Amino acid sequence: MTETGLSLGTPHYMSPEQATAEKEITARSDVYSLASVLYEMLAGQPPHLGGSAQQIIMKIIAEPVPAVTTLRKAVPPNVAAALVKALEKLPADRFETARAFAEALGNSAFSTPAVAAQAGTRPSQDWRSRVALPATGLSIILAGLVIWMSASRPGPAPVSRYEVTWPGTAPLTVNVSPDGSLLVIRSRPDSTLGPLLLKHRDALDATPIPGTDGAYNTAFSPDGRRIAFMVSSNIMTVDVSGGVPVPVMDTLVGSPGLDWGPDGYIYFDRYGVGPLMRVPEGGGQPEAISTLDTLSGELQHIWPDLLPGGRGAIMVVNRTGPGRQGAKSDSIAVLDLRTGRHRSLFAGVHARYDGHGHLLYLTADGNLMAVPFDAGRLTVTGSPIGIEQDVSNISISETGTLWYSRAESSGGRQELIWRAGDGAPMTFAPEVSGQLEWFALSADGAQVAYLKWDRPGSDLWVTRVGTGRPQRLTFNRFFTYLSWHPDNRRIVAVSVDGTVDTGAVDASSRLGKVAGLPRTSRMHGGRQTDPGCSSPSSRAARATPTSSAFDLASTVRRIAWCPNRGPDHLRPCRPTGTGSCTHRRVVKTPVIRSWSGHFLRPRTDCIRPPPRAVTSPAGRAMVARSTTCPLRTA
Amino acid sequence: MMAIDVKPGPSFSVGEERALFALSSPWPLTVTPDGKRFLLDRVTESPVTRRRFFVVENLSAALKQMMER
Repeated sequence: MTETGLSLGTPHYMSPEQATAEKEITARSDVYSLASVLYEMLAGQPPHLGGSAQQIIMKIIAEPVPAVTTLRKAVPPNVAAALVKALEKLPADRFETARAFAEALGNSAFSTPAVAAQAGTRPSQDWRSRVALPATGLSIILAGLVIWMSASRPGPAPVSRYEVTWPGTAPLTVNVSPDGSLLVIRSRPDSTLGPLLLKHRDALDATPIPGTDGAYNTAFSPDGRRIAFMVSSNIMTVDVSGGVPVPVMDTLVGSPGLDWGPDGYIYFDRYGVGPLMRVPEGGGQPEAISTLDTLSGELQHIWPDLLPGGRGAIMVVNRTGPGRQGAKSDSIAVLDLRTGRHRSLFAGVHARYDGHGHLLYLTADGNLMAVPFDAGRLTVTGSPIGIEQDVSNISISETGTLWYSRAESSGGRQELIWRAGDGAPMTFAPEVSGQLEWFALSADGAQVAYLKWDRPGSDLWVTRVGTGRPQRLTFNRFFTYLSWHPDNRRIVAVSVDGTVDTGAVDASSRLGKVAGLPRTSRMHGGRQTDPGCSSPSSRAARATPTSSAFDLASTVRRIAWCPNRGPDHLRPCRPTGTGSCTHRRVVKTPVIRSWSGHFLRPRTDCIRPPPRAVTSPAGRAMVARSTTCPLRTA
Repeated sequence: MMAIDVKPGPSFSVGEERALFALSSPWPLTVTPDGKRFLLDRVTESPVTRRRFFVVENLSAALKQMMER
C-alpha cells in the first residue's frame, strides 16, 4: 500500500514543503492540501498527475498547477483565482488560513493579478448563469474539509536536536534568518576573517557574499532579504540576493552587537563605549536610545535584540568595561523604547527573544537558559529553565529553530624568554610555561609574577629569576592583570569581575608565601573617587579593569591612563606631588583626543585610547602602543 | 619593539625613536631595571578552538509545553 520512504497515503494532496520533507509545516500547508482536494472535486483530477509517487512529488515541487478552468470552464473566476493562490509553491504566497481561503471562495470579486490578466484576454462571459456549484456550496464543502483535515492533522511537529557538520573549517558563528530558511555564516578560513557566507538551509554549499571580507557581526532585516554587518567600524548592508554592500555609518569604534529593528532602524552598540544606539537603515543621524546608570556601575549597553512591534529591546548591561564582556556581573535588561528607561532582569551575558514568549539567554558559565517573557508588557512571567551547557553562541528564528555552538578550546602554551635589545632570544625558566595570561617583572628585576590559566580560572604565580621554583599564590581565581609595587614585595591583581586584590610576597622566605591577597575593592566607574590613579608616593595604589589603558603603582610617577567613569567620560588623570590625583575631562565623545604621557605635562595626540602603558622600573621611559596610534612614549 | 630616550621634568622632551626588534604580539612585555633586557612570552603551542554547531527544531513549541507543566 505504501512505498518505502513515503508517508502513508497519497502524495496528490501534499504541499511542496511536505513533499520536500521540510521540518516546518504550517497551516498554509493545510491550505494547499485543502485546495488540492477542491481542485479534484471541480476538475475531476488532482492538480498533478504522474505514473509514480516520485513523479507526482516532482511535479508538486517544480511544475505549476494547470488552471482549473482549462479542465472545467464553468468554474467561477474568483474560485479559480482562490485556487491559484491556495496552490502557490511558496507557503508565504498562499492564504494564511483556511478561513481566508473560504472567504475568497465566497467572494465573487476576489481575484489575483494573474487570473485577472487572463480573464482580460477572454471574451466576457456571464459565468454566473452557468455555475454548476454555487460559491456558497463551495464554502460549505470547504468548511467540511477543514473540519476533516483538522481532525486528521498530526499533532505539533516534534522537537529534534542534531549536530551540523561542515566541510573544512567550522564557522565562527551562524546567524539564522527570521523564517529559518537562510544562514549567514562567519568564518575564518585562515588568519583573517573571510567573507560572509550565505547558505540556504537545504543547500549543500554556502556561497560568499561579495564585499564582506572581514565582517564580524551580522543581523538580518525583519523580512530576511537583507543583512547588516560590521566591517572595521562601519555598519553596512547588503541584499541576500547579491549586489554591492551599502555603507550605513561609521561607528568609529566598532560594534560587537547589531540588530535590525522592525521600525526601519539598525540598532547597535559601540565597542567599549556607552549606551545603545540606532541609525536609520538607509543611513542618517545616529542617536542614543538608552541611558547608562553609572551610579550602579553600568559601563556599556550591548547586544541589542529588538522585540516584536519595536516597543522594546533586550540588551546586556556590562559593568566591567571594554574587552571584559561576558563577566558574571553582566545582566540581561529590557529597554522600553518609548521612555528610554531600562530595567535589569537577571544575570546573563547574551539574550535573544524567540518570538513566541520566551527569552533565551546565556549565563557567564555558558549555560543556555530560557524564561517566559511577555514582550508586550516587557516583563518576565515565569521561572527560568536550563536547556544546555557550554554554549557559546545562539541564534533563533521566528519559526522557533535554534542554532547554537559549543566551543571546545585548548588554550595553547607559552614560555617566557628574554630578549636583549638586539632581539637575540634566550630561554628563561622553562618551568614557567603553560597558558600564560599576563606576567610582570618586579621593579628590581629579581622576580616574575604571572597569571597562568588552569581551569577553572587564572591564578597568580611567582618565581625568582634564574633560581626559583614557581610558587602558586592563589587558587581558583580569575585574574586578568597584575602589577608589582615598587617595593618589590606587594602585588596588585585585577580580576575579571572587576575586583582588585593586593598582597605581599613574603620576602623572608624569598618567595612563595603571600601575606594575603585580600579583595580590597570593586572598581567600577563612578564609584571610586580616584579610580585607577596612584600617587607618586605609591601609597594609594588603585586599579581598575575598566580602563582601556592603565597601570598601577609600580609605574610610579608615570600614569598613562586613568579609568573612566562611564564610557562617555574616558579621561586621563595626573598624580600630583601631594599624593592626590587630579583629573581632566577631555571630551565627551567615544574617542579620546589626547592622552597624558607624563604626569606633569600632557602629551601626544592619540585619537583613541591606547591599550596599556608600560613604564621602565627605573622610571626612565614609558611605552604604549595602540592599534590606531603610533608608538607613544613619555 | 621601539625605544626612545626621554628627559622627564618640567620641560619634558623626547628623542628619536628607534626599532629594537619585531614582536609577534605586543603584550605583555616587561623590561629589566637597566632597560637592556625584555621579558616576553613565546608561543610554543598555538591555541585551538573547535566549534560544534547544533540545531534544535521547534524549540519554541517545546518550551511552551515545558513551561506549562
